[in-house]
Amino acid sequence: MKKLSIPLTATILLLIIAPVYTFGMHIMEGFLPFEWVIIWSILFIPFFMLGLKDLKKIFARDPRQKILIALVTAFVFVLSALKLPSATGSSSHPTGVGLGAILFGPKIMAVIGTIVLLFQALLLAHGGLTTLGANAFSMAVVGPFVSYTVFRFMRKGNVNKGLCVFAAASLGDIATYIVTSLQLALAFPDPVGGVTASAVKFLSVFLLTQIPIAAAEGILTNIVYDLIQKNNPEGEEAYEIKGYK
Amino acid sequence: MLIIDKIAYNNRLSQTNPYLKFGVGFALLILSVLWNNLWGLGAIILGVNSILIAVARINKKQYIKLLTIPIVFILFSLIATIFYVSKEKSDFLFSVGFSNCYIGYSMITLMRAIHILLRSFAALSCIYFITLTTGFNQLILVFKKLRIPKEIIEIIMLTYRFIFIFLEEVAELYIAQEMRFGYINLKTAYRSLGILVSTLFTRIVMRYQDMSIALDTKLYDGEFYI
Repeated sequence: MKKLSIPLTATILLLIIAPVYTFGMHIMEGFLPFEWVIIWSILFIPFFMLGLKDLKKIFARDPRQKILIALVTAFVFVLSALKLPSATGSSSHPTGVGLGAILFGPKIMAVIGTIVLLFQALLLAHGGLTTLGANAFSMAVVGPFVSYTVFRFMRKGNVNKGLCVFAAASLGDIATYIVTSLQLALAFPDPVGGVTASAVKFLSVFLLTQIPIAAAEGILTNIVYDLIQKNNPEGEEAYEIKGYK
Repeated sequence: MLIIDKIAYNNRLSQTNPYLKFGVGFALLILSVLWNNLWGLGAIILGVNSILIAVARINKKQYIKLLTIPIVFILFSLIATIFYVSKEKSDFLFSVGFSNCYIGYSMITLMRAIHILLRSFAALSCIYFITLTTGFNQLILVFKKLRIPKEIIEIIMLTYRFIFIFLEEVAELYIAQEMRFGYINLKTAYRSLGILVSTLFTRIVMRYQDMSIALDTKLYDGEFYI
């Protein structure tokens, strides 16, 4: 047993971890030390404020949009509680954030995503109040922002719409995964290799499960986006929050 | 459908002052993240859990079930913080050798892992203390007292209402699809799930239109008075 081959051990280790990690990318309650709780909260608040300012403007123009925002928030929460069949046979959870970012834009998704995370922490004990800042930064700020940018950028380049949606949703997922790994690595540096080695460790632990999840999320978002467009002759325009774009 | 929500309305502490419950829970939560003393964390874990079980009279079986999922999750997250790679063998308590380096854990990483585990467990107990004894209607009172922006509280309140409507709809749609072998293999499962999600989305838009009309007939002036 002294000299095990690295690929074999890695595979065994990952097979043990895989079913658990498909649960999502939330940092659990109390996992981060206090200083990182503060740092990530401070980093995240400006984005939330920006989104809130936009929302207030929208509400001032049409107060009925409050219901729509709440409906979308509930929709994203319910999506995150759904099971998503993935290639490894186990189930993972779609985040729905990519779809939201494409339909409503990243700033509003920052607010919606944060409220979803709050509900997940309070009703599902998934994530946490102390780690809300860190989770919101990776899931409600970086993820939607990447999805939205990728989608806009690829649309301008006249790429096939299906491919755009797929790339936006899955790249948003992967961005979230990278940011979460970095957050964990910064808080728990490796005793020998420091933050970089720790980042590599966290990235590789998540890698095997996050890539299929990202692909699955991409495919699902694609199907949903397609159906939404087919069901409504006006396409996505009908669902856009009035006065935002 | 959501077990935490159900327990929150059915325990001995459900009628206690919500500000007190939230205050105590949140103060202990901050304390457990700030305090580096392992005995202190142990005391928080013991204290909070005994209040939950002895005073609030929460069903032990349900509570243990609620604890297991996050704890397993935390344990697996700890793997990456315990093990590390080094070329020297001296620091390790236990290690497996590869061609030119060693993988294992040392006293420092092990102590750190124990600390994280206790901290997470203490924080988890505190958050369960808040959510299992305080129903959401009471939490909204707390949010109001904390001066969270009015718009956010309104959205939170409305969302809380809609979540249960949607969960019910999803359950119905899922059963209907399952009866028609909608989840028999991966390909149909994706298609079914896609249909489910888009149906849900269409219903959201319909509900939005219906509620707008309903609000107009009730002379909605842009404010939900909470």
